[in-house]
Order: sequence, then C-alpha cells, then structure tokens
Amino acid sequence: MTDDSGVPSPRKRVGRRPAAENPSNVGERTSDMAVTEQHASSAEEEKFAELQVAALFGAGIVMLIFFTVCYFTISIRHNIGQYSNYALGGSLALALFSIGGGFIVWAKKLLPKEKTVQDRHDFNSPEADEIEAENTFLQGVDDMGLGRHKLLRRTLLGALGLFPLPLVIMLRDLGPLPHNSLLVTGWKKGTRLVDADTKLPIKLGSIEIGGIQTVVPEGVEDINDYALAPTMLIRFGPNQILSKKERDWGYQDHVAYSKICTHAGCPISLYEQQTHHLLCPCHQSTFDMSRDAKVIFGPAARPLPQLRIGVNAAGEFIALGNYSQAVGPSFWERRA
Amino acid sequence: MSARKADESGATPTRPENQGPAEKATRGTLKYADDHFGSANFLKRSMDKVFPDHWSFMLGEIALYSFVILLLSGVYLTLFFHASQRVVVYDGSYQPLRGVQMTDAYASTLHMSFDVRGGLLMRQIHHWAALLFVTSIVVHMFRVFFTGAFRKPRTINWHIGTILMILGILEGFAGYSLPDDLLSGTGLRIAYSVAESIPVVGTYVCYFLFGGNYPGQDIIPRLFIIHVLLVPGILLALISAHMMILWHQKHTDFPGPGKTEHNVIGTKFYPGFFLKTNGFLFMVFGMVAGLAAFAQINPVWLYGPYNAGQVSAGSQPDWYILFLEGSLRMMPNWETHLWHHTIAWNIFIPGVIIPGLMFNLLALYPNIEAWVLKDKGYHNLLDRPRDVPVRTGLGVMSLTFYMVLVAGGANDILANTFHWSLQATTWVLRVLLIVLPPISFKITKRICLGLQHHDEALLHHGVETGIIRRLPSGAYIEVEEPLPAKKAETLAKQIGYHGHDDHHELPAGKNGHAAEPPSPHGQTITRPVSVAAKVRGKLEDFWDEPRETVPDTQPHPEA
Repeated sequence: MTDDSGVPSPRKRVGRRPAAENPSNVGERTSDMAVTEQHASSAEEEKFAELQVAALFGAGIVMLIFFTVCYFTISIRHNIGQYSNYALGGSLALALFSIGGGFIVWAKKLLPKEKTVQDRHDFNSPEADEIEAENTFLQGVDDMGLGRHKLLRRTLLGALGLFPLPLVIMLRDLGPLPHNSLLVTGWKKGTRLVDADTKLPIKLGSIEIGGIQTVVPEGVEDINDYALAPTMLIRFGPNQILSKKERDWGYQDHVAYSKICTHAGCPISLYEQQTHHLLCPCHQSTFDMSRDAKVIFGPAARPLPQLRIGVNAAGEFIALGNYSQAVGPSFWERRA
Repeated sequence: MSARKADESGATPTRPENQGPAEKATRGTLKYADDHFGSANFLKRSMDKVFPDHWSFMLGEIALYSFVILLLSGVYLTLFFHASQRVVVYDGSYQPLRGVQMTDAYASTLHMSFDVRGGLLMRQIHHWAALLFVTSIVVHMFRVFFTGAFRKPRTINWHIGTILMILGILEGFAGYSLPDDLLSGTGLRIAYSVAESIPVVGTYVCYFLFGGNYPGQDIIPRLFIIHVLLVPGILLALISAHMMILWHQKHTDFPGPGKTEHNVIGTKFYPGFFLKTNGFLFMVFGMVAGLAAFAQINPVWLYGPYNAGQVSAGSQPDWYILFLEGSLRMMPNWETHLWHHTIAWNIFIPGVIIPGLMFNLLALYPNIEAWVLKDKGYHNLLDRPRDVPVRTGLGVMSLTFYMVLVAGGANDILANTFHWSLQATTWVLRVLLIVLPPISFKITKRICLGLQHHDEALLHHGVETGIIRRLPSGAYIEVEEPLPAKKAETLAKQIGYHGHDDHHELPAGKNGHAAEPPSPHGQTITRPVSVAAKVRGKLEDFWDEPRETVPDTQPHPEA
C-alpha cells in the first residue's frame, strides 16, 4: 500500500476536472504543508472503480439481508446451534468484508493520489514561555504562602494524606478476616466419608486394590462451600504402604489424603496405580502416595496432608478428626 | 471544486453565492459547531493532519478496532449474563447438562449460547476479539520497541501503552473467569493461591477480594463489575490519552528520501486516511466475525460447571496467561518456614516477582536506554532494528526468555506430543530459561552487524550480478551493478541517519569520568564520580556498537 517513490511521477491529468480549471497543485504550500506528488485517474478508470466500490457495498447489502433471513429461518435447535452460528457468522463476516473492501477500494482508486509533506513544529515551547509558566506557578506558591506557613503546610499534607482513609476503611467489609478459617475443611471426628458424586457412604471393601475415590464429608451439599474438603481415599495392596505413620493413620491398607495440591490448590487427579505416584494436572507436582505423599517432582514444597480415618460399626469409613494441618497452598500465617 | 482548495494568494475566502441544499446543510452544521465550540480551526487542522504510510503502523489500529468490537459485543453479552453464584439446576436446551447443579453465571452462559439466536456468535466474537486485542497490542509493541519509536517525546505514551497491555491481560483474565466453568474456575483457584502467597498480607488480600475462603459467593459479581465497568473505563480513558498524544505529537516515520526529523510525508487524515481506516475497521470486524463463525473458541459447555473437587488434564489458559503458568510450572519447590510463618517462594517468585520485574523493565526500558546513552534529543525518525544491534539484541533476548516461559506453560502438551519425559522436558526448559536468552542476544547482535555490513556493501559496491569477468591481465573480477538511484537514496538515508552520532546530542564524559578543562596549573583534574555514573558509563560502552563498515570504500564522513 505504500508508495515509496520520492520522485513525482507525473501522469496525464484527464477526467471530469479539465486541466485548465484545476492546475496541478503540486508544490502548493499552505502554512505548514506542501503537496509533493499527485496524479489523477482517467474518466474510464474512475467509472470502473465506482462500479467496483458499488459492487462491494451491494454485496454488503445482500449479505446483511441474508443474515436477517438466516436469523429467522435457521433454528438453533439443530446441531446445538452450530448451523445457525455458521450462517449468521458467515454472512456477517462477508457483509463486513464487503463494506470494508468498498471503503478501501474507494480510498485507493477514487481519491486523488497525493503525498503531502507537513512540517513538524518544535515540540517544546520557546524557552521564554517555559520560564514564564514556571514563574507563574512559583508565584502562585509564593502567594499562597506554602513556603512561609509551615503549620499550614503540614496540616494540609496531613489532611490530604488522611483524606483517602474513609475510602480504604470502607473496604473492610469486603470480606471476613481469615482467623482460623483456612483450617476449616468440613471434616470432624466421626464424619462419614461419602462419594463426591453420589453422596453415599463408602463401605470397607467397596474399593478395589489400587483403586482411588474422591470423597467429601457427609452433609456437604455443595462442594464449592467447602473447597478444601475434597479428599482421596486410596486402597493399597498388602504391605505396599512404606511409611508407618501413613499405615497408622489409615485403616487396613486404606489411606485418605487431601486432594487439594499444596502448590496452587488444584484438585489432584492423575493416579498411577503401579508406582503409587499422584500427579497434579495443573503444574505437574508429583507425590509418592506410598511414602507419606512425599513430593518427588514439581513445584509443590510440601506433602499432601493425611486425614486419619477409621471404620464405624456399620463398616463405613469415617474421619477420626480434622486434618492436623492446613490443607492446600501455603500462606503467610501457616505454621510449618 | 478547486475554489474550495486552500488558497495561499492571500485573498479572504468567501462562501459561494449559489449553494445546493446539501452544501448549505453541511456549511450550516459546521458553522453551528464553530459558533458554539470555536471548532473551525481545530477541525481544519485535524482534517489536514498528515499520516505516514507503512504497513506496521496499522498494528495499533487493529488493537483500537478490536477494542471497539469488544465494547459492542460485550454490551450485548451483558444483556443475557447473570453475574451470580447462586446455585440453580439447568433446564435449558443443551441436553448433556440438563438437571445438573451449577451457578447462575454458568447457566446463563449456556442459555446465551444455546437459547439466544446469535448469542453463541456474539460470545465467540467477544472472545476472539479479546485474543486479537491483546495480540495486536503485543505485536504493536514489537514495532514500537524494535524501531525505537518509544524515544523522546513518545516515552510517556510507551508507559501508557504498557499499562494498556497489562490492563488488557487482566481484563481478559477477568472475562475468561466469568462463565464459572471448570476450566476458568481452575484458573481462578490458581490466581487465589498466587495472591495467598504474598508475604504478610496475602491471606487478607484473598479474603477481601473473594469475600472469604475460596471460592466464596462474591468473586463472580465482583469480577463482573471490574470487567464491564472499572477496567473498560480505565482502558477507554487511557486509550483516549494514547490517541490524543499520538495525534498531538504526530506519527513517527522511517527515514527515506525527503523525510527529516522536522516533517511528515504521507496521506491527509481527511478524506484519504479516514476512508482507509474505516475500511480497515470493517475488515478487522469481518475477520473476527469469520473466526467466530467457523473457529470454535472456549466451548464452556464441554468443561462443565466449576467444581472444587474436579479438574481436567491438559487445560491451558488463553495464550497471554501461558507465560505465568510456565513460570509457575518451572519454579523449583522452595518454601521457607520462619517463626511460625510460611513464605511460598515457589509461587511468590514465579507468580508475582517475575511478572512484576518483566512488566517494570518493559515499561521503563525507554528511560533506561535514554539514561545510558545520555540521549535527550527528540526522535521522529525511526531506527531499523539492524542499525541498533544492542537494543534489538536485548529485545530478542527478552522475547526468548518470555517464549521459554510460554513453552513451560505447555510442558505437558510438549511432553505428550513428542513422547518426552515430563520431568526431562521441565528440566530442559529450566536450563534453557537461563542459557538461551544470552545466546539469542549474541546471535541477534551478530545478525544485525552482518546486515549492516551487507547494507554498506550494497551501497558502496552495488548488487552482485553473478557475472565473473576475466581481465586481460588474467585476473577475475565480479561485476557489480550500482543500486537503482531510488533504493540507493533510501538506503543512504537509513544508514546516514545512524552514521552520525545522534545519541550524543549533549556530549558528556564517557565511562563516568567527567573530564574537566585543564586547571590553571596545567594539570587535568579528573573529578571523582558517583557509582551510578560509573555503571552508566560501563553500560554505554556495552551499548555503543561501532557500525560495521566496508573497509575499501570512500571514507565515511564520521568514521
């Protein structure tokens, strides 16, 4: 689109403006501008260009009408609305392309091709003006006595400094203070472990060896109310748990660990049965579930917290208490 | 027609006697405006404003027009979106999710996608326009950076532009989070953890932002008002300022025949540029509409509603967040426990410090370069990247760092696609993040110097013709043809613009040693200088790459 030629390439000037009446204004200067280069097109060229532009605008009109027809005739019930989307979007796109193309052809073919040179004026003001502005400002400071009246100046700064205080204070009720609420997970002593989807209790023996199930505390209606609650109940084969503490906190080869990653809080979901490795899909922290959920790879710094579990008289898994440490990502108040 | 042309003969212009109705109406309106605003002079100057032509100057226009599309499509979406985390049971026409519990935000997103004619199209237009907005801002910044358009007097406009880019990213992330689907919810969960990692105040920041423990009931309505009012308002104000400053300062241009620091050559705003840019607005809109029609984006119905207990593997955010995701993934697992407090370096460094440093360096680069080079001059003519090898090298170096972070954000996809070990991929990327940037600096600088050499050869020796001629003496010579006059002139301007030492308009002692005139006793006293000045001097040595020249030619004026 750029015409880089710095050399004027004169063409014959014909068209509806007779040359005599419209002398080339190459070299014409206004206050800060000069046209260096200009050529016009012939009458036939102009006529053809007009047809091109009109065809493009016309295509735009047709497409906009087509859009309207499609809107009312194509149901969005078919193929989850995809047909409607193709038709509406396609016709809109074509309409916009046509109109846009019309403008561009118009500009390129029908406007006089001219290159204009314009002066850039000095950017900053003459030094005298700058100094006068500075003086006026400083004179005002003098008149107000900001330099002389120390007490005035200090109280002014104090008042203006405190002025945003109400605005900031009023943000206080945006949320509660954290206190110990980051420790609340919904787990208490005796809470039954229920399936995250069916909300049914888990019976001893219902998980196969090598199996894993996401559980939540019984009575939690919406898991998003207890986002730190999701827990994994994992069943190992005999003697596969390599840590005594892990065995002690579990029940008969079953152990329960927080599902919330200690790195950025994603729910961990990828369990490798053979190696007992658990991988977080967000940032790939990997935990060895047979060794206290030790971190073996990735950005997580701490093992997943373990939930002490037992089995009630009905043979259902229950928690023996809340997690003994904060679940999920680290935060300033977290005790190691 | 010609009677209306500006006349420099000095005669006072008069309104013509016989005006047609259209002309009468137009003149009447313009007079009415001038009577009330005194606008005639401003209007005339504005219409006559000259804009230079170069394809790279359209990149910023794409950003502007995608913003217009975002405003239009965004207003439409607000008519159907419910910014509420109230739990509802979906009963719309998308069968797979009927009867599923979800927030009203997600349900209304499904409603507008499946039960509002054209609603899906608008959602996809909005999302594609958002990607185009951020992308075109970034590419526009490449143009501004690598051609030195950020130099005085446009430094403050660069700062505004950087803020616009950061706000664009935040705005995109906020909008992406609103549908409350499983993918966006996971993104919010990570954002919460990043805020939580800020020492001392992190927990409070989270609790005030989310109204309590994650996810709470408040974040969607709050993000909504941030997304549709607060940030767009600031964007609108800053874009206006950006445009007004551009308008006032006039556009930069590349050096070329007839072009100087004191003129602009190009097309007048009205009618030429005005028609073209309008056409361009429609073209950009057309492209976004075409993408929205045929390229599916963010099919939230496939992800399902947000559930704190679920996540899907291989879920990547929109591209402009990927670098943050990458820095989180690549970070070693450092954490400090001190006096009953925890500092999660593994999140705080990659999630807060690294982006903070990157954005600050980006914003302040013009100031740093001007300080190092003691460059206080005005620059209206642009550099070609090859003519400023160190700046170009630094730019490519930063981009390389950024690209490795982006690759890190897709390490699982990379490992999966190429059957690499995930661990090995991550380790290789960690090493590359440190090693690759300096290497890319060296290579880029070398390429720039090579191109300079090539330019000099072209100018002084001409174009290779491929003809080898044997002289009567038996020697072989290669026949070279001089460049065509126009090209030679352009090239000479481009090189000449850098041939003189334009960085040092205010000469000062190099290496921080302020040389004083000899004292009356005849000794030269070297004044001790500050550490900052010494650092500046060292940096200037590093920056000042002598131009590559071709030895066997007529001496260069400044050489």
